[in-house]
Amino acid sequence: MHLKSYFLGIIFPFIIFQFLQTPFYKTLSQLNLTQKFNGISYFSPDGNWGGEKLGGQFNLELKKRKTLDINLQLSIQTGQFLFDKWFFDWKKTPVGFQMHGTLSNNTFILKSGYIDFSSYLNLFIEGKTNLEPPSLHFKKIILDIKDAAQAYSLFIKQPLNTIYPVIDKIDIKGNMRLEADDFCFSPLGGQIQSWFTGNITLPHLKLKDTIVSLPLFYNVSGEKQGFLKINKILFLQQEVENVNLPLLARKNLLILTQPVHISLSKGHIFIHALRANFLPFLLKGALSLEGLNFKNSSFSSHIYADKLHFALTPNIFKAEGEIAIYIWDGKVIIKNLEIYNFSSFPKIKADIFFEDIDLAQVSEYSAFGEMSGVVKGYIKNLVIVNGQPEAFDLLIESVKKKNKKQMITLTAINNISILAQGAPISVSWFLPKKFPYKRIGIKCTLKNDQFTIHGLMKENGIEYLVKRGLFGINVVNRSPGQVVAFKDMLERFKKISRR
Amino acid sequence: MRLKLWIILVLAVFFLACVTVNIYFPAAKVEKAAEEIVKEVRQQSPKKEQKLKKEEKSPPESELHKWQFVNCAYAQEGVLQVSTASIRALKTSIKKRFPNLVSYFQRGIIGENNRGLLEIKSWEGVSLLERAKVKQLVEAENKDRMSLYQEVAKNMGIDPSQLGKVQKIFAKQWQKTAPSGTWIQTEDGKWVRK
Repeated sequence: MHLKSYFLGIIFPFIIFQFLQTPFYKTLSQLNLTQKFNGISYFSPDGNWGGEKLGGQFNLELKKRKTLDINLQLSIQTGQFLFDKWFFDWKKTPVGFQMHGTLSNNTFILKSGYIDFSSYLNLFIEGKTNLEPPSLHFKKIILDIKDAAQAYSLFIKQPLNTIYPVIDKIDIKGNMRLEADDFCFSPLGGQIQSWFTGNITLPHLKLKDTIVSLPLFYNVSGEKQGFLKINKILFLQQEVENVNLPLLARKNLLILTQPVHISLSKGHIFIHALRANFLPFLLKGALSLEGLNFKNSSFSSHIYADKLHFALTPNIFKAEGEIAIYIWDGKVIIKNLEIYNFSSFPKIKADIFFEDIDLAQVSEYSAFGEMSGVVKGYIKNLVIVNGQPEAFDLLIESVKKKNKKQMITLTAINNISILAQGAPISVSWFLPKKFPYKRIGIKCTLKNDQFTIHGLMKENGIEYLVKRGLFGINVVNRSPGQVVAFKDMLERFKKISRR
Repeated sequence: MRLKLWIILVLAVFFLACVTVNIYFPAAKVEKAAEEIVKEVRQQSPKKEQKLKKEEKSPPESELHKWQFVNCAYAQEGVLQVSTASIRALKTSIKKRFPNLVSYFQRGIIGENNRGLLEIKSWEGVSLLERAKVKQLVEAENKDRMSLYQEVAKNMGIDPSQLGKVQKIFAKQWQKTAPSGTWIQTEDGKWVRK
C-alpha cells in the first residue's frame, strides 16, 4: 500500500482506535471540544515524518451510540510538517481538514473528508477503512487543483528536483481535476477521470492552451472516450496549431482512435497509431514524417520517415525504422535510435549513414576550412551522453563525381592537423592556399574515452588520410593505432573553434 | 569396450562439473580508478594535474609534399584509464553536490557506509526543512554512485555479480577522503566517528 494512503487511511484511524481504548473514552457518551493549539511538535521514532511548532485550531465532536460519530475540523496556520521528502510550511500554505465519519469495531466509515491546501488544492474523499485486515476503499475521491503551478512546485519540484534534475525543466500552469469512483487500495484499482486545462513546458517542447479529458480504468474493466487538444505546440522554434488526439480508454489501456495529421514546418507528421499500457507503462506508436523543412542561414534540410515505430517506457525510448534527412545535396540516414535515462543524463544511441554530402556546403556551415568534393560514410554505434560522445565508429571517404572539384585549403589541413596531433603545421611561405586532393579516407573510433585514427589508403606500408592530387600535401598516419585521450581531443576541438 | 567409454564419459562430465568458474575481477585496477575518481570529485588531486603540454609544441619539421602525424601515444600518460562520457557526467554531478554535503558529514548527520553509499545517521538538531533537503541529497548521491559503480564495472569488463566488490573498494576511498566528523562504517559493520 502506498505510504500516503497508508498515512491517510490507516494511521489516522489507528490514532482514533487507540483513543477508544482509553478509560476516558469508556466513560464518555458525548464530547464537544474546541481548542486552539500552538507550538505542538511530534516526530516519528525514525524522524522521517513529523510536525514542528504546529499552531491552529480544532473542533472535535464525538457522539457515542451503537457506533461512534466523529466530526472533526482542524486548521493549521503555523508550523512545519515533513513526510519523507515532502515539506510544508503551514504559515505560507495553511491547511484545513474536515472529517465526518462513524466508527464501529474495526471499521471506520468516512462519510466526507475534506482537505484544503491554501485554496490551490482541495481533496474530497468518501470511503471506508478496515484496520484488521487493513484495507482502504474510497467510494469517491475528488482532487481539485486550482493552481497546477503551485501544486507541481510543492508536491513534485521541491521534493524531487535534486534526485531528478529534469523536473526543473518541466513547468505546468493551469488547473486540473481528478475524480475516482470506487477506488480500492488493496488491491489497487478503480475508475479515474482527469481533466486538465493550461500550458505544459517540457525540454524543447511547449504545449500551449492544452485541454485534456482522460478517463482511466485502472485494473478494472470499462470503456470511455477521451481527448487531448492542444491549441499551439512550440517545438524547436516551429509552431503547430490545433492538434486533436481522440482517445479511447480501456482496462489499463489508452488508444488513439483515429490517425492524426499535423502540419509542421512546410511538411507533415502522420501519427498512425498510439497505444499506452499502464501496468507497466509502455507507450507504443507509429508515425511518418514527410518533408519537414528545418533551415537556418547556413543549411536547409528536409526530413522523411516512413512508418517509424517507436516504444517508450519510463526510462527508454526506442525507434525502429529509418529517419532520412536530405541536407547538403546528400542524404543522412538515422537508424536504431534509442534514448535512455531521461531523468538525469540522457544517453542517445544511433547509427548514422551519409552519402553524396557536398563538402563545400558542409565547410561553409562548420567554418572548419574550405573544402570541396563529395563524401560518404557512417557513424556506427554512436553513443552520446549528456551532450558528449561516449562511443562511435566513424568512417568518411571522398567519392569522385563528375563536375565536382576535389580541393582542400590550408586552413582545413591545419584544422585536421590540430585534430590529429594537437597543433597546426608550420607552412612554407610559397605553399598555395588551396590544393587538389585525390582521395580522403579516415576511420576514427572512440571507446572508453580513447580515440584512434586510421587512414583508409595504404601504399607501401604507409597509411594515408588524405592523398594529394597533382600537387599539394599528403597526410600520412605515421603511427597507425595511436591513441588520443578524450580530454586532449576536446582541447583540440576548442583550439579549432578559437581559430 | 562400451563400459570403458561410459566410464570416460561419466568422468569427463564429473570433471567438467567440478571446474571452478573464476570470474574476472581486476582489484588493483578498480582500486586505482576509485582512488583517482574519488580524489577528483573531492578536489584532492593536485599531483595528477599533468597537463599534456607536449602537444602544444609544433610538430616535427613539415615537408612540402608529405606531412606526417607525430606519435600521440603520450596522451595516455597521467590520464585516468577508466573514463567515458557517462562517468564524466556522474563525476561532475557528484563533485557539484559535495560542497552541499560537507556540513552534514561534519555534523554527523550523514555517514559513509561500507558499501560505498551514504546513510542518514542522526537527525539531531536538524530542522524539518533541512531533513527534506538531506533526504534528497542522500538519495541523489546514492543514485549517482550506484550508476558510477555500474559504469566503472562495465568499462572494466567486470561481471555485474561482482558489483559489491567494486562498491567496497570505492567505500574505502569515500571514507578516506570524508571530512572529519563523518560517521564511517567499518568492514565489520560498526559505526565510528572520523
